[in-house]
Amino acid sequence: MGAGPAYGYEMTKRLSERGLSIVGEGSIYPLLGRLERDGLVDTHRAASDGGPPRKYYSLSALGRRAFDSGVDEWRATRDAVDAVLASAQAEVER
Amino acid sequence: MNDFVRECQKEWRRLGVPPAAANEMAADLSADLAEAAAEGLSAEHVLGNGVFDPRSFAADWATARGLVGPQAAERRRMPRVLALVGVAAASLLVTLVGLALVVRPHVSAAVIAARRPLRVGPPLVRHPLHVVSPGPINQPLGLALLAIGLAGLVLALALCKPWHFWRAPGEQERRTADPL
Repeated sequence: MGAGPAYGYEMTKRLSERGLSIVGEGSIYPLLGRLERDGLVDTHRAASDGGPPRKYYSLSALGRRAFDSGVDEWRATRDAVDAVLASAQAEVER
Repeated sequence: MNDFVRECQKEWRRLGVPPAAANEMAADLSADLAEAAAEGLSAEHVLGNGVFDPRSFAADWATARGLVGPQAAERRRMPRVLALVGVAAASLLVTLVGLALVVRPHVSAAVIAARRPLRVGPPLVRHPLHVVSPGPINQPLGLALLAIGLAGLVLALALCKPWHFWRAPGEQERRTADPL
């Protein structure tokens, strides 16, 4: 959604292009539903390119804060795991 | 609008989802599926495993949007579950009865009577048990019951779709995963 508002299938394609096939399991719709229910996304209906009107999703202010917080948590977790793996690898090579 | 969307709409009606919200979800889903089809992609590409179970997919989506409480969704599924259990139990019973009629030797009432010790006359004579082959009526009846029972069990199994539950752990994790 950082790349701009998108409708469900459009988001599926964006994620697939980035190697994230989580949406391939059809979870994008319930996922967007939860985000909408929790006020983390704003929605509006607009015409798509040559197609019927679609429901577009974009991050709300609350969603942006949650996203930033999630990114920080993810990076902290990733760094911690990387540190553990690096020390384990050093022990193996010793 | 394709069959999958129609099945979803039925489920939303059954769950009491407000018509406006149900129509909106149906329209979005139809548009997404049509776009995928125009790009040469199957519905499975958009819906994943959900394509095999439109009712669960529709219920999950509506529940996630807060259009139906999880307890209400579960409660509404109960009659179906109970009906399936009933069909499975009845089918099992019919199968067992059919099996018994086919496999178990038929003992006629006359033979049972003959087993009784004769009380008239001095020696107490006990006739040996005469086991005869399945009766001319019981065997076809047993086979018919067996076929009906097995068909019922297969039907119950098909409707219950236990393979969805076997696949469930990974699927559930993905479904419940909160990205934020």
